Amino acid sequence: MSSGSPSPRPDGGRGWSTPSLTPHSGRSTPRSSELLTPASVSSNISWASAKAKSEEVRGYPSFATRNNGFFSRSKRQISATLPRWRSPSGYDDYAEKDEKGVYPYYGAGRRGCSPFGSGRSVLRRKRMRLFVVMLLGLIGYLYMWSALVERYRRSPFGNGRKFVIVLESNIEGGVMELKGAREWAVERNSIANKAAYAKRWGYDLEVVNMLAKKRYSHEWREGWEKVDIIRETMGKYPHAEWFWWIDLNTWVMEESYSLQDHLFNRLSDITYRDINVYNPLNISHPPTEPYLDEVSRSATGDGDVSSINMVLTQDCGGFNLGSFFLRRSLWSERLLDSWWDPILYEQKHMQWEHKEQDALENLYISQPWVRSSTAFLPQRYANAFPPGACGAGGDPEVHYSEAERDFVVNMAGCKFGRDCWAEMHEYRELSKKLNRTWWEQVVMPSSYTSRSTTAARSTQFHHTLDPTLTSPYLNRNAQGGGNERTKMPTPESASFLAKKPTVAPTYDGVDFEDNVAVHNARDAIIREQWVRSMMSRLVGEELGKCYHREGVNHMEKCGVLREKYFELLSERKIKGYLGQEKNVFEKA
Amino acid sequence: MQFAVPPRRNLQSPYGRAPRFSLQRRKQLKAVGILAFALLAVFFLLSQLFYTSTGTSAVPAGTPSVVIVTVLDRALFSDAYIQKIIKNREDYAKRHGYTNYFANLADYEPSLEGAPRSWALIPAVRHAMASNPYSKFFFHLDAHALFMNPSQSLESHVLDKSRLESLMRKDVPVVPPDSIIKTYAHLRAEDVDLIVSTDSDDLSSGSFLIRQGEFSRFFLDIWFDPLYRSYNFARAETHSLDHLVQWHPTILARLALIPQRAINAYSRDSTGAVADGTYKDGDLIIRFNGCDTELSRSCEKEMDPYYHLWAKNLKNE
Repeated sequence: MSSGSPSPRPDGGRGWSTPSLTPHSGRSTPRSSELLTPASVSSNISWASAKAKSEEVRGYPSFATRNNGFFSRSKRQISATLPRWRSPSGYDDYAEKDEKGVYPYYGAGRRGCSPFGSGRSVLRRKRMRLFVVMLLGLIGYLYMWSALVERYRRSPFGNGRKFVIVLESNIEGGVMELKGAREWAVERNSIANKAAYAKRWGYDLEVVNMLAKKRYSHEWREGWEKVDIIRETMGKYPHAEWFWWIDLNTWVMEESYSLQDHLFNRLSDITYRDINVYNPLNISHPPTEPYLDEVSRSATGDGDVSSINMVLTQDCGGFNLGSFFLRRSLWSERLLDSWWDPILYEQKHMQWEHKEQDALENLYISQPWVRSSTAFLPQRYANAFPPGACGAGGDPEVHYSEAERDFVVNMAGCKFGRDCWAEMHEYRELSKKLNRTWWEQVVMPSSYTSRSTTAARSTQFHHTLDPTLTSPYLNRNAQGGGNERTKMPTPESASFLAKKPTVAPTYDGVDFEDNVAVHNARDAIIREQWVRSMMSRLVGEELGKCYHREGVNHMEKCGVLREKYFELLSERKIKGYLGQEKNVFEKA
Repeated sequence: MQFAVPPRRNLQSPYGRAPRFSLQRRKQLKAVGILAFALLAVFFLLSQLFYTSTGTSAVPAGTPSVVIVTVLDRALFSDAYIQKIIKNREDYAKRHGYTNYFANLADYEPSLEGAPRSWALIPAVRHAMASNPYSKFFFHLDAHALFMNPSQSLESHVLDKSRLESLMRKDVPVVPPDSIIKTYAHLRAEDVDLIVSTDSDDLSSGSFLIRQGEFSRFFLDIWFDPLYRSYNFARAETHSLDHLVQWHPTILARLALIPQRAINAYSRDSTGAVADGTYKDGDLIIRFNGCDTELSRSCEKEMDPYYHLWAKNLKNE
């Protein structure tokens, strides 16, 4: 049935489309135009305005077989009421260009204008209205489009809710160490970075508190919260499929990479299940015991993507748990369950320096069922290292590449001799620079040039410091080294001194007429008392741990702490400032 | 090229509300509908085809539903004795369409890495699974045991859903006598992958049923972990099993405890039977527990009268 064919042909189309009748050929079908002719041709008013009017009455064109949708209807209205932008469709059905390749908009507009006469003011009003609508649309697009997209991705239709990012936090705030301005900055920035990423893609972000819990120190399992936390998070997000554990000292460099596109839609292409591809631990793979089944003895498991339940990266020292993925499944429940076992841990806790990481390596080595569902990701897909970790830099397997726009940087080991905040700041700026919009590139290219040169010197991260954060305890990390965690905060340490307020905690030399000075002194006195009180508490906790650890030897081994505790005990109570203040008055 | 005369209905009132579906529209809709249906059908067929090609292949005919795993220590026991055990089990397997997997302990000694020889049962069960990839249940039965009531099938006796449901001991201490960890009260028979009984001291690693699947691989691998083997448990793999079920809920959640006499009745000479755990006539199995480890006892002597009783019954049938 050729007449039903909605697309007009340039040559044959002339048969039915006449210049003044079809405002935009190809949109109205031959039949409708033909049927409308009696009404529109006889009177000399513009067909378009008549049609517009009639459409106001009827609501929809009666004969169109194609233009029934809301959009095509309004599109036709738009094209009918905007003669200026209309193409001379009547003469050259839908080709908007003439032979010379010139767009004949203006000529057409003038020609198109002539038939409009009486309906002109109406049209102008309509045009005005349309213009406002389009403007509003544009503004809406600019301001709300991303919000809408984000909303969609979070909805059950988008896939965002299938992913949960589990971000550790508060690692410094434990019993052992106080948190300084730089640690706070690291934490704040890292969380904001992941929150923005999660929001953009509709993922859930779970920021978990790694504060050392008494429970774990009692069970000999400090640092093992990871396992319990992942299990809790899995319970908390029942709709999610993949859980991405990520350390605090990381930066998502490319927010525009979704986990789906970057990793999970092509898992079979980018992961390797045969650890011999990259095997820093020299694990013999596959297992060769004759009693194992074929899948367990195969180097690549069953080779099916759906059996991958954990996606790990390896660094130069073996498994790296700074950024890994775990899928909700029976398998991962079993893994989390067997990860910590008192008998395994009892035998190995002296050797397992990296606690849960070593335990996982042990599981992988000795239990074939773990191997058949574990896949490895080349490190730079989700866990690139900065120079300084695993070599000075430039290793294409390990180190972040700006040119290839790696997804995530993990500043692994920055606590030991490097500067976490400086590195994070550097990468934050680099990420900003790499991902600025075209508008930013045009408007302020100069403001980034200085940054980019600093980024180029990326091998010297630990020397470049952010000028806004200069304070006397900068090189604290450097001096702390590996034993940092075992150090107690003492009144003498540099970090402690640095956190001390500038106002002395005393009324000596305070002018009591000066309210500001008095209040500052009060603040300082109270703060000092709290510091003392908290110190005694921390030492007390340490003492408790020491007793637990040493058992019958506690008399001998915990002496230092005990002495310290007694010394601090007298200052434990918060006494307030009024007592001193009144004494001062009496003196005066 | 158009209709010579437009359809009548449409001519009547060009500005009036036209009927909802014109003739042509209806035709088009019909065509679209048929096309969509055909496409869906094609997709469905293709997906079915694809699914069957990648899905798990069907169980071959003649696959035994249960495999009885026995670890034989040919170094320590006479061939005549071992032949008796084999004969007894072959007869039982033949009656019910099961199959036997007789493992040679010496084969697994290199894998034990110096651990007590009793650990060999774990790789033996794993090996049996690898050799019978389609069988559902694997029944590990210590060598020093006899089927005394061979007419009872394992299905009707233990494995059937309703039967298992009635046998399962729920909410009792999992390791006798008073472990604070108790078996789950809400466990259903279809979730059970591991069926064990307890004697008066421990879970019995000498007689258990395990369903082949992901769980079995996980369970046997973790049970056989080198660090457990090197831990010097007083009763080797038995204590390791006690430890596993108490510390790992994913195992406990798949475990059904059944009364000892169901699959693990002890002979009168054996120590450690629970109150109702000693063999009585009509029980499926008799086990001579500890006859190989306790110096004053002799497995061959203890088994002899029961073997003759079984042989006599066999002749009478």
